[in-house]
Amino acid sequence: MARKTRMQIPPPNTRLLLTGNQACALSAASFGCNLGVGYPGTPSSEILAALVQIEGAHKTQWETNEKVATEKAIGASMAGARTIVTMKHVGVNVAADPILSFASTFNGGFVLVVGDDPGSHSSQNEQDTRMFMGLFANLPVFSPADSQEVYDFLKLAFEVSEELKTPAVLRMTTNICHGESIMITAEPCEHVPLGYKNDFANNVVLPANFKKLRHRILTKRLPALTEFSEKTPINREDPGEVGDYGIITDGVTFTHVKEVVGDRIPVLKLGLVFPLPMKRIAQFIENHPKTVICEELEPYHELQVMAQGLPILGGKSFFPREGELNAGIVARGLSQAGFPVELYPEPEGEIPGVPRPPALCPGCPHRATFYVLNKMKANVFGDIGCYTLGGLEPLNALHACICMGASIGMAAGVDAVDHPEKPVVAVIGDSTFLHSGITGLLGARWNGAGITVIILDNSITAMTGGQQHPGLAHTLEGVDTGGVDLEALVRALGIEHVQSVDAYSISEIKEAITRAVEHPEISVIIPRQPCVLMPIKRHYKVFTVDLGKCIGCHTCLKVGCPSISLADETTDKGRRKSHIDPHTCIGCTVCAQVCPVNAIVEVEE
Amino acid sequence: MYEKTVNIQLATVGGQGGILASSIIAQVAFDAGLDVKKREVHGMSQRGGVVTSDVRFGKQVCSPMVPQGSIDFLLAFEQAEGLRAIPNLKNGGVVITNTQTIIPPIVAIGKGTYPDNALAAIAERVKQSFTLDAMRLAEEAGSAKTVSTVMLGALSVFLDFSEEAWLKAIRSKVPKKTIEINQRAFEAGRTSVNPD
Repeated sequence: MARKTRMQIPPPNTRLLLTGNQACALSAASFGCNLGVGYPGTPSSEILAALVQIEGAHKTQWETNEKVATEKAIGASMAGARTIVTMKHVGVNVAADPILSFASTFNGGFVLVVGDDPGSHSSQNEQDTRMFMGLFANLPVFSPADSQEVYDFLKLAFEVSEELKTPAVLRMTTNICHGESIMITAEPCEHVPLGYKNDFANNVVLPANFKKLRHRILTKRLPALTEFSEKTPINREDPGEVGDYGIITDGVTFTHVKEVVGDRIPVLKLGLVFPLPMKRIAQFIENHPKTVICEELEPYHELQVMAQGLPILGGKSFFPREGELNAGIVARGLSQAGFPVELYPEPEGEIPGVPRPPALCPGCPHRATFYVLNKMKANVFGDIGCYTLGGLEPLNALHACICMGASIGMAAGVDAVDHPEKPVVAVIGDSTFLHSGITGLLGARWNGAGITVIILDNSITAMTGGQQHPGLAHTLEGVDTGGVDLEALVRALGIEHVQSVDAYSISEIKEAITRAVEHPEISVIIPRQPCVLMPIKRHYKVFTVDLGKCIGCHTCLKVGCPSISLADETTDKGRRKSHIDPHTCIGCTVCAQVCPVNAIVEVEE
Repeated sequence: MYEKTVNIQLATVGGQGGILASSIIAQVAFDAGLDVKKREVHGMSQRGGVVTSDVRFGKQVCSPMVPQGSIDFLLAFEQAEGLRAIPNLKNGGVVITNTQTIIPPIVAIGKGTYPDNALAAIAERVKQSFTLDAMRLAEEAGSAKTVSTVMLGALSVFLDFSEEAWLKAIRSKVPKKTIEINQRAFEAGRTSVNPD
């Protein structure tokens, strides 16, 4: 894969319309970032995809998982480089071990960039990274409200990180990451890594070292950060006419607040949310006796402000703790708090919408496997990826899903204590397997679990938009380093029963699963076909329904393909026949394989 | 031009090109020197789910999300998606609906229903309601994939940006090979609605 022409860093004062993710990448490239590393996760995935396309000396790499990515960034930081490590909020859980220990050392130039997902649009949960990385890890957390602030705050985060020798955190949310807004560029700068030097007392967290480091953090670094927080202009007050009232807010919520109150009500906007500028907050509350805290997700500011005994009207008593906020919700909460604001018109006459749950794409190579698992009534432990959708109607063949890599461990856990009548199967995608499935499989084999593990290999990280992973020959930068051979890797873990099958062949998959289930020891099946969308859109043939043959049995509808719907034509008994959308069918043949009367046929060219 | 913020929402189904269309609208507003914000909501799959985009432009735009009940222009790429979104239309707002229907697989297997009178329901509730068969117009322009460009053409009639401004933004965002087809699709959409 030859690298395309890369984008030049635009000159200062260039006006751009960018997503927060693009602004983050441009900021990294413009302000001396030497290494961008991460693991894809919505809404953060596009940062490194944008960074690799910008001209510069920086390296951009996908890593196997967030923990490894963080460890790599830690090494780069120890070598005096500027580095960003990107991930989604749940990725921080994976990376928590290195981050929390690294947080107790004095190293700089390290910025953890996190995309939180309020409303869990594309996530298994909602998590508030302000809580985790701020209050818990004691790291400075920057909370931008638009693309301009993403760009500015990342630069500032590098500077604070280097000056106070602390890892820093840039906390974004879905609307910041994917939202586009206008920003103006600044004068770029370079950063030359200072070079690696051993520093035993700082970088080896033996108990004796840790205790000294911890003491210095609590007595020196945190007070210095707090002093910075009190002074920095990114914690600012927007004055207003109605002086009694006040609102404390941060991040994208600030934009909703301004949408509602304009310049009428004073707002304390926090750009650095850990540590909080508590003196300024106290002053603000004193000046504005009717102050509320308006924040998305957890009562993060609220708990800290309440712990100081500062008198506020409330926070989470007016604004929900779950889901994404918007101007309508903010206006309602402010109104409940007695603020002089106008409410937005309530949506009139809610109409029950047509159900449109996400579905596996037409031609998705995961479909046939779930169709077979459904028919076999297997107990399926799933994982994180497009294939989680195998649990939805009509495939209904995924019964547990917790976090990245959990499928194999969960299946082994059931196998350790119970032997259900129907087979216990773990299903995991190629990227997720390489992320954190390998260790689960190693343990399952070692402890003698008798489960079947299916590694769905579509040769890409699909759900997040088609990122490379170590199973592919090429890296993010387009260098051919050779991908890992999944079969060889599985065998190297000590598993002898490994079958590779065509992911589009129902009969091959069925036979392989039957053999695997009968095999007394752990068995691995690898159905393989490339993703139909990425890295290139695939198109094999187009199939159509021979209406003369179709008996209206609707068996083809049970494969859950978005291309198949009901035709206007009916059978003699009045049952509607099937129809295949020629625009979206890519010719995977799965529906044709299940049709009992061979009514689904290839369209003659 | 546009002292007050204009709120546009695109109600689409994944795969219809709604996100590209919204970024073209944002580009046009950006090129005109306006403040602009854009956001989108889409589920976890690439295709088949509901995809909603908000584009807001004006002198100064605060929130990236169109506030409830505040849509000035609703671009419904599909009948039922139009029906889903109209409760948030501003009083006096405009709806442009593609008459195409996309029946989700879940309805085909009998686990849900598709409204059989969506267009009539929209027309009944909205004074300024316009419809067009964007799929047919797109196919006539040369590709079924230009439905979103046809819809932009229809929207352009209601906004104060020049035709050339739209075409410039379209040329900058679509694949080079498809520029001519997209220009035809835009023209087809532009001539298909008549607000007077």
